[in-house]
Parts: sequence; structure tokens; C-alpha cells
Amino acid sequence: MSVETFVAAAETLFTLETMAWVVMGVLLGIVVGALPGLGPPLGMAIILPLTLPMEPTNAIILLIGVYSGSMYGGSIAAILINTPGVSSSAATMFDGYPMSKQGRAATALSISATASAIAGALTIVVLLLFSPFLVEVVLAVGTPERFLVAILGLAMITVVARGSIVKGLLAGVAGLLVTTVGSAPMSLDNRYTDSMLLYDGVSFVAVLIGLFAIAEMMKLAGQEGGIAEDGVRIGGGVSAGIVSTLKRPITVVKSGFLGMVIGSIPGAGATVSNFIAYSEAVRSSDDPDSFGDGNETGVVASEASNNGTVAGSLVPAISFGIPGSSSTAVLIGGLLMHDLRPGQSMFDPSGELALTYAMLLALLLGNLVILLVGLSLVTRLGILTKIDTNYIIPMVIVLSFLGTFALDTNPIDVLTIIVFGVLGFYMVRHNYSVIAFVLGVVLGDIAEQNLYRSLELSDGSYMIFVNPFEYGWLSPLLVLVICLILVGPFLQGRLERYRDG
Amino acid sequence: MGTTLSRTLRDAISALADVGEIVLRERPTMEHVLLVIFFVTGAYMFWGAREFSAGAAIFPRLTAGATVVLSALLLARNYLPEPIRSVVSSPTQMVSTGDVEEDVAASDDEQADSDRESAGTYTYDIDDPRGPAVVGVLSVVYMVLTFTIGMLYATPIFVALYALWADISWPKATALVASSFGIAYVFFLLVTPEVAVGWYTEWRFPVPVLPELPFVAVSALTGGSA
Repeated sequence: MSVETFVAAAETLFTLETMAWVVMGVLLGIVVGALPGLGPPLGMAIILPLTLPMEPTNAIILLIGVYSGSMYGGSIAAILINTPGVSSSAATMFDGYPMSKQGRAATALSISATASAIAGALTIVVLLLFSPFLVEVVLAVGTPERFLVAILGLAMITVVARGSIVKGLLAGVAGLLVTTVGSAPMSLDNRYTDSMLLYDGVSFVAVLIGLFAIAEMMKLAGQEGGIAEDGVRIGGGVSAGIVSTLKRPITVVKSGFLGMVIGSIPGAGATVSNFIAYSEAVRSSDDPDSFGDGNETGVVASEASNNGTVAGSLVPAISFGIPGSSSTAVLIGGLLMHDLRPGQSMFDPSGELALTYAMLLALLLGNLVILLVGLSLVTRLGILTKIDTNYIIPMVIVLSFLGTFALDTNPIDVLTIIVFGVLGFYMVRHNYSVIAFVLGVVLGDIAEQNLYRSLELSDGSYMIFVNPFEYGWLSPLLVLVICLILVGPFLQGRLERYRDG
Repeated sequence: MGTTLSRTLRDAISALADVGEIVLRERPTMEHVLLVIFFVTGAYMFWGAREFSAGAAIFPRLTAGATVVLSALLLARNYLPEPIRSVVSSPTQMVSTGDVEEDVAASDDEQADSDRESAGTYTYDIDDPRGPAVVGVLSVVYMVLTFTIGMLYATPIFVALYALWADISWPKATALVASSFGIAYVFFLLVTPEVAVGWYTEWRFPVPVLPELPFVAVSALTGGSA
């Protein structure tokens, strides 16, 4: 670890202004997470254009605060009204809501705050400690490998996501295709456009806002429920929740690190880790039958894992620009918007390493804010679940339109959010991976530049990706892994059928 | 007149769906529309790439080609031989969470079940299909108003139309409309005055003038750039 850079990062973070952005980000995140139907990617996407006038460090810290805060915020709606504010809190409902019905909502909410904060902080500390190793890995990756890592990320998302692999791949390549509009990154060609309005291509921020804000609002407008009834009473003890969490250190640590590992797999995200950590808690329990009826361990496992995911999902995001989740896709969008390129420069002491450390330290601090806010406002958090979605929908759309237009005052961006909003709505409806699509949009330029440079290095030969004798072993290895990931599940199915037969 | 038009439109869509069912060997849905859009866009972009220089054409060709092939495979899935068909349309999952979901779903309510998502993809139920349609149409209206009268005044109109559709009570609707205008006005003051201009018409309606905001507040809101 570069101690000087680390100290510089700490100095940047511990200024009044930056600390204020951390706190504001976490608070905004808690609100966004608690409102049913909203979630971290949506909240971050709306805030993204508003960060344009800010300093890059503060902008990224604000976004990361929202990300972390909304992970905890999601549990509020899950516990109080049996609707996950965010998908990553879905498993919290299983025991959180029964606890609420038993008059122990405050205990469940304080368990959620404590488990989220402890697991979030632990995983960030581990990430900080392992960052020198990560730096080595990132710096060892060359141009052809960077292109293949992008494809690997895309391949993993299509397999990790539930649904047809072909649908996932189609979503990914369609996302890449969107980035080919406008000026070519390595030449002067203007592609698919005669209009000045599209010379810079389709704005990925507008695409993100369309996919996450407009599409989600269309979905929300078609759904009933999700608002608390007047009778929701927040009973139980706050300190009982803290004690309960502290009495389960193994569950907290295990779930947090499960979340971290799963979060680092592109596309897996907190939704998957949340269920896996919950199922592990059930499996390792002496009393598995009590789960689903208000077992506190269930809430601990679910909430510890989803905040652990935040640290994990940052690994591929800042190392290779591959989002581990929708939220990190928006975060990468924020980095790119502020002219920060994920990859080697994020680990270069003369580049953006200070920002990387500041980001991780901000997350650490954010977990403390979660703990303080979560515990002190437990009895008042229920109000967030009483906000009618009919007030949320028009306001989110208004913020999306204004934020997008304010970016470049380009009218095409307004059209973009509507087109991709509708596209995103139907993609999700029919099980096409929106994350794969977003990954394509975010990675398009990086992938094309690395492909172009690789082919230049090899005089136009694609053998650079597969010939180990001339170009090294890493590229062929990555190609092999990509093939295994894409073909593996089918081979596994056939093997199982063969065995059964 | 309106009823006749609506019936004619419904009949036309039904006839089209019948033809689609024969061609696709399944009842067409919005998924097929989505796939046709991907296919046509991919084909157009593949064809269009021939006009670019060799270096600039590689990536569009690769991605457009892949889009065409994959969308064609999905559109023609009912014509494919069984092994290929199962590869194209069968769900695969590397990370399984199914057991827990099923176990707990049995003892939980349906809402929870519908919201349980997987990593990159998830589907959900729509209780009222008019909702998404209304939001889509109103967003288009909002865009058209933005291009004509500017976003500053388009914003409260959009919110008022939504409030009208959602049957929000007058006092609450008024508060919502006023808040939305307030947000747009903050954007006008602090971010860009262009929100008060209709991009297409270049119309500029008079904007209410407020006493100047204290510099400190403006600076804090814009991160020091004001």
C-alpha cells in the first residue's frame, strides 16, 4: 500500500466539505433505498448528472455514499411492509417482516443497521489491505487481455443472470452496439450520424437514466401496493437488535465475506449474495425450521451480505471497468463522466490511486453514518414507507429529464432516456439482462479501443488473443475461461442427463 | 367514430397477431417486437459499417453481426432442431438461489415472490398495464413540450397531467406541481438557463424573478462552481 497516497486520500476525505458529501450521500441513499420501487442504481443515475459541476472526488464519494446507504435503506421497506425497497433486501423480508408483525420492528431495523455497518466496514478494511495485490494484478494486464477481460465480464453476466444465455448475450452485444454511434474512438470517422447532435455518440448517462429511472417508473406505475398502512407500529428494542447482532459474529463475518466474494463476480450482485448468505444461515443453523418466522439470524445474514457486496463489486469496477452490479455500472458512468478511467490509472500513485483510497475510506465512514443514522432514527424511518408511489413517479421522471438535459443541453439525450426507458421496461419484462446491456454500453469504448490497439499490435491478426507462444499465456487462458463459461452450463446439463440415463 | 376506430385497430392488431402466430409458431408478444427492433437495427448498422474506414468498421461489424445472429436465433427458436433450441431458449444459471426461494416462498406471500430477482435479470408482474403506457405517453408529451415551450414550464404541466391521471387530490396535486416547478426553477437558476427555452421553437417564456440567493447557498449546491 502506498502510505503517502493513503494519507493524502485520508486528508482529502477528512475535510468538512467531503465529509458533508459522504453524509449527504448516505442519507440520500437510505431514503432512496427505503422508498419501494427505487433503489441504488436509480438513485445514483438521477444524481449522476447533478454531480457534473462538482469536483470528481466529491462526486464519486457522493455516489458511493448513495450506493452504500441504499443497501441499508432497502431493509426498511422489507421489514416494515414486506416489500424490498431494493432487490438486495429481498431475503430480509423472510424474517424481518415476521419480526415486525410480532411487534419487534425496531429490533429488526437495528439488527439491519448494525449488521450492515459491521459487515460493510469489515469488507472495506479487507479490500484496503488487499489493494496492493489488486494493483499487481491490474498492472500485469495488457491491451489484448483488457479487451478479453471486458468480454469475460459480459460472458459472466449472461451466465450468472437467470434466463437464456442467448438473451443475455444479445443484451450485452446490443449494449456494445449502442456505443458505436458517433465519432470512432481511434479514427475520425463519424458513424451512423449526419447530425451534429449525435457526434459525441449516445450519452451513456442518458442510457443509464432511461434504463434505471424511466423503465423503473413505468414498472412502478403498473404495480399496486408497496405503501405502508397507517397501522404500522415500530415496536421492540433498539439495543436488543445491537446485542442480537453482536451475539452472531460468525454469521456477520461469514455473510459479509460471502457478499464480498459474490459481489466481485460481474453481474452477481447483492441480490444473489443476499439469498446465498440467507440459505447458508439456514443450512448452518441448529433450528432451520424457525427461519421465515422471525429468526433474527436471517436478518443478520441478509443485511450483512448485501453491504459486504459493495466492497466486492468495486473490485472489477475500478480494476477493469466491469460493473459487478447495476449500481457499479452507474458508478463507472460517474467515473467516466468525470474523465476518470477505471483500470491502471486508478491504482497508479501518480494517477488516481488517492481517489481510489478516498472512495474506500468514504465507504468505511459511510458505514459509521449508517450505524448512527440507522440506530438513532429507527422509530421514525417508517414514514418513508408511507409515501405514495404516485408522488414518487412524476418527481423521479422530472429529475431524470432535468438532470439529463442539464448534462449537455442536448435534446437527443431527452429522446434517449425515453427510448431506452421503454426498451429497458420490455427487456426486463421478457427476461433480457439489463445489467448485460448496461455493461455493454459502459464497456463499449474501452473494449473497442483495446481491440483496435491489439489488432494494431498484431498487424490485424486475431491470433493475438489465442497464440500463447508469440503473445503470452494470459490471453489464451482468458479465451478458454470465456468459452468454458459460455459452454459450461450446457455441458454440465448434458453430463447430468448422461449420468441419470 | 372513436369506438369504430378502436375496434378497427383491435381487429387489425388481432389479424397481425394471427399472421405472426403462423410465422413464429407462437403468439407474438412485445418480446418479438423487441427482437425485431434488435434485428433490424443490427442489420442496418452492419450494412452501414461498409462506409467506414477499415479500423473504424471492425467493432460495429462484430457487434452488429452478433446482434443480428442472436436476435435471429431467438426469433426463429421454434424452427430450430431440439438440441439447438434448448441452448437458445433454456434458462441457465451458474449461481443458484432457487432452493431457499422456493422454501420460503411457500410460507410467504405472493408479493415477495414476484419481487425476488436474480442477478442481472428479473421479471415482475404488472397489475395495471395502463400504468406503464400512461407513463410512457406522458413522457413523450413531456419531451414534446420540452422541445416547444422549454422544460421549465413543461415540467409542471407534465406533473399536473400525471396527477390528473393518478386522481391525486387537488391540494396534494397543487403541492406536487408547485414542487416540480420549484425543482425546474432551481435547475434554471443554478445549472442551465437553457431549461427555459424550447429547443425546436426557440421560444422563451418570461421567467419569474426571485431575490438573489445567498452566494454561500448557491456555492454549496453547485460544489463551489457558482
